[in-house]
Amino acid sequence: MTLSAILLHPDDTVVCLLRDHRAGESAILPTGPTAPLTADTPMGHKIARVTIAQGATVVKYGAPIGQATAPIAPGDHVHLHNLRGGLR
Amino acid sequence: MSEFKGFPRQTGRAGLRNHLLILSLCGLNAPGARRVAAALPGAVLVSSAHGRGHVGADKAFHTHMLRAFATHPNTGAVLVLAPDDGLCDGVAGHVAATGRAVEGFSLQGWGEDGTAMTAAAIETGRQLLAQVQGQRRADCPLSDIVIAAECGHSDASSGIVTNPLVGDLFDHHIARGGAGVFSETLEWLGCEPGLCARCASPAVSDRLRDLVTARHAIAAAAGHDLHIGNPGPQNHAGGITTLEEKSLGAISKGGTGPIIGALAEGAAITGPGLHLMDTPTLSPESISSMVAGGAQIVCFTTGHGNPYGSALAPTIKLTGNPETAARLPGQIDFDASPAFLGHRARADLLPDLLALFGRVCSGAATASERNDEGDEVISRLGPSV
Repeated sequence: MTLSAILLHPDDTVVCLLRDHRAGESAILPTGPTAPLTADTPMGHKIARVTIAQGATVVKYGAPIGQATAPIAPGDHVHLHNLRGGLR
Repeated sequence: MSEFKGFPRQTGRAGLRNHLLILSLCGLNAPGARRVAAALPGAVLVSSAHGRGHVGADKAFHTHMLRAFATHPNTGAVLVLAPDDGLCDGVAGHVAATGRAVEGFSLQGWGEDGTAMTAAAIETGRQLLAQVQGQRRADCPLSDIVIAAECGHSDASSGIVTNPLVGDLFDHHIARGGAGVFSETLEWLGCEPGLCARCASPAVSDRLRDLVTARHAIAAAAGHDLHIGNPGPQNHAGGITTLEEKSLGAISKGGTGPIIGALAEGAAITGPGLHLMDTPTLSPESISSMVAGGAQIVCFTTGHGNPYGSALAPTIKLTGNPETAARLPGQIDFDASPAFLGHRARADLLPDLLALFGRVCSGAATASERNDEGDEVISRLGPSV
């Protein structure tokens, strides 16, 4: 089956989409499908693979990329509306 | 595979190429140097646009870079073109001490007759070219190779697929005793804690932080805050949310290993392992500085495409963007898009990349070599007087 998402590091709390996805679809990882997406999400963008509490660190490449500014559920699009970097 | 077919040197690491380098030390020699290069197909031209009126660290850096190119592992022989005998003899002597053939021509020595000097340099260059082209490759250890990583005109595929793939190559090469270097200090912004945690010693970690602080200071002195507007709208549209994330995608091309050194721009990479180098963001400056540090080969990732390569170090151009790979087949050496399209796992591409890497080390031409897109440039560290 064609993969449609990539997990960059085992510790990551998000995965990256390899194509545009519609709400309700699951993205396909080598380990199987993700939780259904809760919104239309474009290629290159991130979705959560686990529950991320508001204020918790979001991890990609095995490293912190910022804090959740809202509660995030598996399958949620993670971007400017719910993730803020530590530098600005 | 632990060996490649290269050119062992009397001093220093083995070469992947055996270039005749036409080295023009000063802007006064640049037009003549272009005529010499045009008459000697197969030779590599490195020409400084400056060379007079440098002061302080800028002067020392200019001299260092020219000498580093002249004694680079991939340089087999050198034709030095200089404005005066002093500069000419200084570089020629430095080259001769490494066992390389070298011939110098100075305008002073030729009574300021650039026409006659060019004609003579071409004649001598023909002999040097025949000499380097007659030398045969021999078995050399792959662990003798320093790989440089660069990214340019990046897109979503770069941070997700192509840079991590080059990182896989770095991890593989360094685990077998080789060396690697990546640069562009501004690409480390926001991931200093993670990078520092990977540093082999507190001294390296402190040095890394100092290098970032110094680049911040350069920007601040000109009224810029590097954190504002970074990442930009294009990054956001591509899915990058934070500066930490953008930087992590960029530095993933260096792999995951411990960081042995945090080097000044152009400084020699003296041992195995992973090194950082402080450089500006422009790819020509960044690549030339890593090449001057001793990198014999470059892996250059791109999203939308980018024809540029090093003149001295074969440059493998990689993209994960399927549209770019299809649009620029004559300019892309490695198509990583099957991993971006989800057809193959990234790990499955590494053997193919290692095979290409081995072929290029042993002499196979890269796209930028075939297309004559190579150059070397020397950063300016300050104004001239």
